[in-house]
Amino acid sequence: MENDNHPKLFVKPWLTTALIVVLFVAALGIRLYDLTDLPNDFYMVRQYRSLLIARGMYYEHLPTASEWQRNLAVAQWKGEGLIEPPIMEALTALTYDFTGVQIWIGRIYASLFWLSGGLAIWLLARKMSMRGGGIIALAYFLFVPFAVTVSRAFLPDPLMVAAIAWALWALYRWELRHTWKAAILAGVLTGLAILIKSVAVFPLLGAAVGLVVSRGSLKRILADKQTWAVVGITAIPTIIYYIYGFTSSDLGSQFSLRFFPEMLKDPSFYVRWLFLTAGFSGFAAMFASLTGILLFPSNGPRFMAIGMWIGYIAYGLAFPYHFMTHDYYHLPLIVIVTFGLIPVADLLVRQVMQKTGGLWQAAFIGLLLFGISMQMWLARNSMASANYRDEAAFWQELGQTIGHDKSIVELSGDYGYRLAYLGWVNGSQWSTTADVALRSLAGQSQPDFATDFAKRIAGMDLFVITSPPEWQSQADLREYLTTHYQLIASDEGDGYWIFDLHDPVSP
Amino acid sequence: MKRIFAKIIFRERPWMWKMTLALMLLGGFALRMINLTNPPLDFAPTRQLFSALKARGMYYQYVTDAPDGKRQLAISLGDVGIVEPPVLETIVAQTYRLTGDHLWIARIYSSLFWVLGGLALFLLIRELASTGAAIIGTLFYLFVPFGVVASRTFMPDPLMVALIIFTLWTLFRWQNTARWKWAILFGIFGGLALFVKNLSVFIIVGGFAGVILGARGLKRSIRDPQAWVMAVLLVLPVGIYMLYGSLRLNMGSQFALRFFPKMWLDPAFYFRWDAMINNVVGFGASMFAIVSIFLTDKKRERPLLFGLWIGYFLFGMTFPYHFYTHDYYQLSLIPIVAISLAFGIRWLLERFAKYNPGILSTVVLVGIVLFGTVVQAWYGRARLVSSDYRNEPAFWAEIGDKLGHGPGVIGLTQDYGYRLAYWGWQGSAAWFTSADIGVRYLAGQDIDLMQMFTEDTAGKKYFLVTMFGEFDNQPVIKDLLYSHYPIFAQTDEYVIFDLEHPSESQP
Repeated sequence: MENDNHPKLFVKPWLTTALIVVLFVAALGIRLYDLTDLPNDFYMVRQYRSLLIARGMYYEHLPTASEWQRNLAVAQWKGEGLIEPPIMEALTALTYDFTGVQIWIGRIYASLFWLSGGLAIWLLARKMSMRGGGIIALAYFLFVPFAVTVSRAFLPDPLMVAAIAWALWALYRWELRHTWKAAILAGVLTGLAILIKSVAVFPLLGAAVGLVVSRGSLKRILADKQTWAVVGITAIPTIIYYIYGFTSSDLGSQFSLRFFPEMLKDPSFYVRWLFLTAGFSGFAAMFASLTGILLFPSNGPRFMAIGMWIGYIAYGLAFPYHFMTHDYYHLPLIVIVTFGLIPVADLLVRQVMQKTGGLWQAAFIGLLLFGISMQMWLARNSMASANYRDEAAFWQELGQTIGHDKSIVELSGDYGYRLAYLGWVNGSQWSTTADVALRSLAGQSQPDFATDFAKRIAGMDLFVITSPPEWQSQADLREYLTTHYQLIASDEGDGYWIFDLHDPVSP
Repeated sequence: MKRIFAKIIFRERPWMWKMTLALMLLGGFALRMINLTNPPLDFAPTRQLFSALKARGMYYQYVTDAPDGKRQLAISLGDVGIVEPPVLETIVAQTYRLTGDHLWIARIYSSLFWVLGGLALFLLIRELASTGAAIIGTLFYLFVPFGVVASRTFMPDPLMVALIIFTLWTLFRWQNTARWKWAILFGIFGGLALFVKNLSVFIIVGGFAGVILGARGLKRSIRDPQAWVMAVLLVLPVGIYMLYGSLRLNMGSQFALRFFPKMWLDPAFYFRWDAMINNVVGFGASMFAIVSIFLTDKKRERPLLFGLWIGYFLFGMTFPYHFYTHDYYQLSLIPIVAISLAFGIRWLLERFAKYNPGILSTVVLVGIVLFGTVVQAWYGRARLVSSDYRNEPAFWAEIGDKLGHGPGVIGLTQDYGYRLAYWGWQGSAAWFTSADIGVRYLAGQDIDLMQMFTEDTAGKKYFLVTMFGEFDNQPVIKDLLYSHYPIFAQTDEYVIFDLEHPSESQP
């Protein structure tokens, strides 16, 4: 299927290689900028969760750690519910064996995984004989601002997106070759992507179904043993993981507070979704990618693209609340848009390269690099504008003030993750206003304040507030604590209040 | 091949594209009528109120039933200086004679001019590229969110842009036909554009030079009387006006603090310029527009485009400071991008027609274009309704009543006192903002704040402050006023110092 009918520029292997190397080096470079800053720039709750898990795994076998630290680190790790297999965390923990605990290791892995996804995009474009388009699509995948931010976060999502890209490559390769080897590889990579994070099923199922449907007759599809093998291999790892999760841990609890069908009746949900989609992917890119569906020369990739878009829509309909509140839920969108960009960009590049002379071709490359450098500059500015390093000392100090052995109830804006990770203090969480709203949205009734309070503070030493906005907005709690308990430490400037729960005062 | 798409969609039925065009223009106009009566503070309020004051002053020259004091006050408040010939202000003032003075009248005129510019743009792109490209290019022009907001403002710029487009259309007609009719029309439209706002010179002369040098040839053009007539008609109105302005209207001062060549050496200037472009037309659209130049015909299409882009570049280099602080300076970029990306669109549509001969895929494409338009329109609408300034007139009226509508007021107030002047019917001298001081430092001027305060407040009765953030930025002045002058009146939103009765310790 591959042919040599490429624009001249991309037939010269050294030039193509050089360009790709420049893209990858620049993409890694921008992701490593401000590497050692705390991961507060993007959805820190999820990042600190991964940090706690990785540290716990590492400390479990760390002979030099003090016992209280080891116990606490492991307890913090085990205290995190099972959501997806902790692959990134385990890898990071293994690396800690060589580097010690470094907050930025996860960032490096996430960045490298994303870059590997870029490689899959490039190989996929090559398989489609669209090298020119592949380079532009790769540049988009590596430098679109949303992806630059998210892909360096210590979350399973960058790895998942990379795995989606590799699965797409393998599926398309299977389509071209139709060998058992290719089918098994497609099944393995698709299954791996879904195992890494189960929501990968939406775009991948869409792509796989699209690909199979593009072959035509249903009878032929059903009779194809390879198709059944791909389905089986894809499903097995996730099924095993879910059986394990449901039987040996609390994986089932992860499905609560996720489905809000009521939101689907609200037209504003769809408008906001549209705005988010266009905002994350870039309006022009999204538009071009949709047009790209119509510009694939064959039905295979065309139906894959349609399938992925349908999968993305199904994903949003399944998780409407999280789609509005969790930016990183949209990350698979980047690979979907990238896929659709390949044919559009390829047509454009071919035409430009065929029509114009050497100077123009150089100008075109220059323009590409200029556009990338502008995107990098914007990303760099946004990273440079925020510096969270000072926070570490604050949380460490607060941890010491509280005492690492204390049992606390905490009202925080981050579910207590920073205090847990940086301050080495484990806390039970008092519901935030957002939690209350979420439960209300799910139709759950709110418990009586006094009963709930009594239940939550039972056996606890301290009530710690580390979120001034929450402290302001929870008037009942503020009133109750200030009138019934002694404030033993506070700093309004830094934003914390500590109440002693052992020593109630008479109101 | 070039017109395949036109054949498929419009089946060479002119009524179809005419109807599409009419719907687009009507849609663009209707969008701009949203939130029509909101005071014009959503975009470049200083510039809009400048025109509003001028138009009201002109109108009150004709009003016979207003009290003489009010009439004189309106006329004197309307004497805000000369920047460009008050073309729009005159039209609006004459309309006020029929309708009474309503600020939204100007919004209707500007929107109308912009939409008419869309008509010329459609005709130009249709001749340059294709009908399909003209539709998409015009949709971009009409619905790009920044354009939606900026094009309905009480400023000469929307009219200027519309006239630029008519000029370019006639220029291209002339390039293709070499007829006297188009040469003269070019001269008239171009002359009008330069007259309305002389900054249009960059784009118009850029395009003209491109056609003369690239499409027709310099030698041939020098010998062509049409070219000379075009040049003379182009400069005649603005030449006469500038001469008159320099001699009679003290317009020379308008050129001060505009030219900052040392900014050329600062890389941040170029990054900010790029960020401004992204804000105005979007990163994807601007890159696609530039890439599209590569797809143009060397002799027929490229010269005009080159001229436009070089003109735009020179515009930015001439006014580097204003180019990233005054976003409306970028308004003429919208038609340039719309024209440029038409070539890429033409080419993609041709490919699309090749790959998708059926009607279904055409319908899908139309659906994608409609979808993109709706999303853009929704963005535009969101910007239009995002703020409500309807409480402003009453606020300023209250302050105006407090101050007594007489002379002797200096203020640190929004928009150099124009809000106070327009709604409060109270003239005032404007105290420098920190940005004003900054631009003077940039121009190498030295400022002695205390001396300036003494000079500017001499003979004044009141010092009004409504910009408290700005007041905090000037601690010397803040301290001086609070420590040496009694407060005449104050609320949470304003404070008026009595300059006539200073406390005993004089500054």
